[in-house]
Amino acid sequence: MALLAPYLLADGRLPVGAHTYSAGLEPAVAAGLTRAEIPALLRARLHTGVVTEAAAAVLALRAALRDPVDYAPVQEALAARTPTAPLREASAALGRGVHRLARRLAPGHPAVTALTRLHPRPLRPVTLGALGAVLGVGEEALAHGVVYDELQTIASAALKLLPGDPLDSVAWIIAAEADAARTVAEALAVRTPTELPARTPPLTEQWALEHDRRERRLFLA
Amino acid sequence: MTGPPAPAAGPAEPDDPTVVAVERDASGRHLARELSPGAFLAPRPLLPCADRLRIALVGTRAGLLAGDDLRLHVSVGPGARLELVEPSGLVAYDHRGGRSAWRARVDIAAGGRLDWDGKPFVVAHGARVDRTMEVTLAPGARMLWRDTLVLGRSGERGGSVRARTRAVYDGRELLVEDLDLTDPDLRELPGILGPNRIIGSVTALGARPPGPPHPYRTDLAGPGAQVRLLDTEAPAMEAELTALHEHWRTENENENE
Amino acid sequence: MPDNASAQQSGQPAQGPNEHYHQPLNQPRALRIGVAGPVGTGKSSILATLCRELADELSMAVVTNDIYTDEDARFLRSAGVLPTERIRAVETGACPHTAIRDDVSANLDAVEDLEEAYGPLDLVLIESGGDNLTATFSPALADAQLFSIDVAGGGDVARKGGPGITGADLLVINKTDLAPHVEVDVAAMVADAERARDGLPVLALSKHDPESIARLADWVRAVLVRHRSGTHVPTDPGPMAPHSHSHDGS
Repeated sequence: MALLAPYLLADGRLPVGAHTYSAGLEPAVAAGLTRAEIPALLRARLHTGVVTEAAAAVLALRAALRDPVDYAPVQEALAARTPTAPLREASAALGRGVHRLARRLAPGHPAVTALTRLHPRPLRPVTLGALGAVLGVGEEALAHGVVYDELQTIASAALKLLPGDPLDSVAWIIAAEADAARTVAEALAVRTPTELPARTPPLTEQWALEHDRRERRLFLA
Repeated sequence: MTGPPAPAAGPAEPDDPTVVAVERDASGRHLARELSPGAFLAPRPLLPCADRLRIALVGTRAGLLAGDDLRLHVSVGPGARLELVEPSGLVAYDHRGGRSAWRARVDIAAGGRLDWDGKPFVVAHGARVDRTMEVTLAPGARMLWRDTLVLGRSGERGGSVRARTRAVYDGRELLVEDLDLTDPDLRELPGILGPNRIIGSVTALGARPPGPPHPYRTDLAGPGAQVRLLDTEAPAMEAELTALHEHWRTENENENE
Repeated sequence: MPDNASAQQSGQPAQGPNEHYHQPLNQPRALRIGVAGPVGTGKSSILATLCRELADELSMAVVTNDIYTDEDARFLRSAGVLPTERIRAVETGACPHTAIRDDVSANLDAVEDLEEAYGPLDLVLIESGGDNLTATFSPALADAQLFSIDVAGGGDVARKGGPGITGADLLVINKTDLAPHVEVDVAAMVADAERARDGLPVLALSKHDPESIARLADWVRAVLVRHRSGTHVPTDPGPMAPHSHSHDGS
């Protein structure tokens, strides 16, 4: 199971609602981001929000493997580091899809039942930690999955928002490798929820607020 | 939490924190339990107000230079109200390879309120400063914080600054931010600051201000809200944030009546 | 994995309660009817008609899927047929097909939220944001689906077939009042459709024909009776026609 699971986690076709998410690209494009700037946007994400998300997923995975399972500390730490309400809502909506999948795969697993006790709903990294525990995915694979997913989400959304040669998007992801590796290492080094990084991306937050007020949207956020 | 003991009279030592501790006694009267000048800022009481203390933080030394460590301890007792004003902003100058720190610790007891109207914090070319704001709020405590970071003086790209904020309400983290603007190449990436050099915020902690929605208002996960504006130039943003700060402050007051 | 295998699995009634985050396990959930069909065939108008006909007797809600989030939802809200807060739009990431078939997460979330806010509901209508003939609902989302084509699309649409036309629980041939203007023989079109559908019902509908509207509402009532008695089994109209998505990895 654990051989295939990391690929499942990182696969955009995993039916957990991720196709409704552009990881901030649609709001960025509305604010004027061009196709040429996408590699820079990927780099920005890897140095800010993705560090927090990957580290939170790893913390949640560790929490999922303890007895009893208590996600509250990591969920609260993550919520305090996600001050922008639409971004918390998007994370909770995406987490809901992951939670639904985890429930289907292992409804009685303590890592899954503990998710249901969280109110408000678990944020996506928390549910990914739980799913990782259910599937037997290790910390490093999980962190890589979160980081890769972010890059692929932006690159795929770009095909709809800033159309161009789809092969470009593969090159963007490969070019982001060094920054991605650094992000994974940083995420793995986090020991406690209090240490959870909180690298604020002010423009991304602003764009998310603008997107939330917009009527004609393709993506959730 | 109480501040350190009042220092003996005499000039502040380089490491002395500025201490402002206010309380409200049983009769409802406000009093300053401690007002100690630090190495950089001296607290000066302003004209008394019936329902609060107003204190100005007056700069006593030219801004931040390499090796400087500005510390500030503010505590507001149960039910007390404090208004902190800054007559002028602060400039972190060229540190010529060194670094400096600006560290504030704020403790607000149950029912206490702090309104901190901060002036621009300018990070000049060559500066390298760590700014931290640690806020601890007891249940029912509130803080309103106006804050502006400016990267560079006119025409400059600006120095390096890492501004961290950690606010804890009733023992739980309410807002944790790490504006890591140390590397100009990174911070100018799209989605971080892009071309913007000024980051202005009004942050309410402990309560969500009512009132008409501002397009850039976000409600925090816990009791609190923030409006943050970014710009390449200061003036328009300053006016907007001043109005918003005033609005949130007045709403707070009306609610208190 | 073959589509049918996953569909059968996800269509198991036993999975229902699990899907519902806050809903008590013993509470039957609302009947979910999908409304699919090509653009311009009157899906939104069918939804509005059903709300008008049934909202007095049933507790209803609507979910819309669109290329751009909320255009259909805004049309329905402005039609005033249902309280506006009972009409939700979901973002589909520019893939309305995916949102009703390959990955129904966002739609399930919307349905669950409506049940939580206004439940117990009797009926949730889900409108697809279809842009061709091939989009059909996964049984994991819709218990039953109607597929709408119209006479203006040409008399041979029904004969050409496609999974929605041949396999939907109900095929609606809409706008029959326009038939004389587009030189289509409605009776022949219905007969073609019936042949293509192997006995599944076909309904010729016009908003100017009250009797046809009554038959549409009756069909919904009949499905609801079967749903409540546990005898309704969601079926999958079948896999989509080959359809290329360069963005499947999104």
